[in-house]
Amino acid sequence: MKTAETAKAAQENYLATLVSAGPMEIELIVAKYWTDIWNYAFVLTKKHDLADDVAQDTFVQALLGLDKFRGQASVKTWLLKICHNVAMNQLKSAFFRKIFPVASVRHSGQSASAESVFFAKTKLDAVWENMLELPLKHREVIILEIKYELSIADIADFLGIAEGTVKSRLHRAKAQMRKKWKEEE
Amino acid sequence: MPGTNFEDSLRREPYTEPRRVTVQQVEQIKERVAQGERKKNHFKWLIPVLLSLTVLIGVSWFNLPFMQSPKAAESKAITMPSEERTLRIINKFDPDKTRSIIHQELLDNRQILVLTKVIKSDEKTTVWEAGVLNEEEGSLKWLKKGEVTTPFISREQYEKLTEKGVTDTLTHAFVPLTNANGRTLVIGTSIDPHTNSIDITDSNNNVYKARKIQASLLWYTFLPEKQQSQYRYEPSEEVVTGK
Repeated sequence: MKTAETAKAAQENYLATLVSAGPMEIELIVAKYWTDIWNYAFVLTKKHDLADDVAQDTFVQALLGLDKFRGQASVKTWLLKICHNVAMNQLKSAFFRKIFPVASVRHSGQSASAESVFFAKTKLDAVWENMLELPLKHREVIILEIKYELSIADIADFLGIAEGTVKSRLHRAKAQMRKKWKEEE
Repeated sequence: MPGTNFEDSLRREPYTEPRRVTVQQVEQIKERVAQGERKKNHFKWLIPVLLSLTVLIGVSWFNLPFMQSPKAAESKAITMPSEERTLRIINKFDPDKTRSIIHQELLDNRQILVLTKVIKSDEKTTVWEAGVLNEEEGSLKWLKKGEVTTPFISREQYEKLTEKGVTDTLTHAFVPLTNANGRTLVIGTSIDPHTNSIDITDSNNNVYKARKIQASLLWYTFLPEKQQSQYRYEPSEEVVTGK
């Protein structure tokens, strides 16, 4: 455990010293944090394709802004914060006028097939399904606290709101989840 | 429902198969980061260029006439246009093919006095116009202020008039001008070829000499603002060198 913590700290320190990432660093960072970031993007957007885009944008922004990472927060929290901002910007826009580089445009047939294959063999958890029905501000605090294990103070700082507001949102979110849980038991 | 409470379920992945990143997605991220790096490098030299341009545009903007303080604008004198240009400007406002420019001079930093001649063949008269070119919003505009009219005369009539004196044929008109520094413009005509100037005397016997424009019948001068009836006009053969 101590070795894992030391390794984690070493990586955070290493990232804090980087000002730009090469292909190797990109692969390592994306592989390590993709699932966490995709899950959070999915919580915020509730759409698979949009979560893909938000996660990708998050990594691009983070890797381009590596010089801004000073190691005050963990890499994951730093990425989650970027993800939050990217998702909020996407959700604020009525239309997503995203321009993809030609090389990155996927064949629609292939894309649909790959996605349908993935989602055919996987199933959304019932509790997650219930959680996704909560209002955005409630599902965001509950997931940051339970899944990403952020403290009340960290969530308040992360979302730029008062700790009291975080507490009341958490209280309501959990009450709603408990209610749904009991209904389905 | 799996798990002992909802918290346990939320700690796990939403899907039974975690959403892993694909090779294609990693490649796209690499490509976009590489493109972003190139853009970042572009900005490094683009920013000072843009800043310089902004400063340049700002300086140009504040040099525009309407951005200058009244004092600064006043200090910049109007440029005297050529007679051809003056004619084009006046004809734009009041077209007349017979018009010619007799005289133009700067009144102040923003006004040019222009005297013209217009032949009215139908009416057998010559109209002598006095007006100003005003600078407004960076362009010159014509404002006619007054005129005097002289009838066409035949050679016979002219000879008779020169024999008995042409004082009677002296015409004059006061031309109201704004910004003429408290002066009144008076223009007139004299057909006497021997007359070089016109003496204008006020009620206090102060004499003002009006300059007759060479090769023209027209004379003009600026007088202190007084009742028009307080002046009388006489032709003079004394050559006036100045205005």
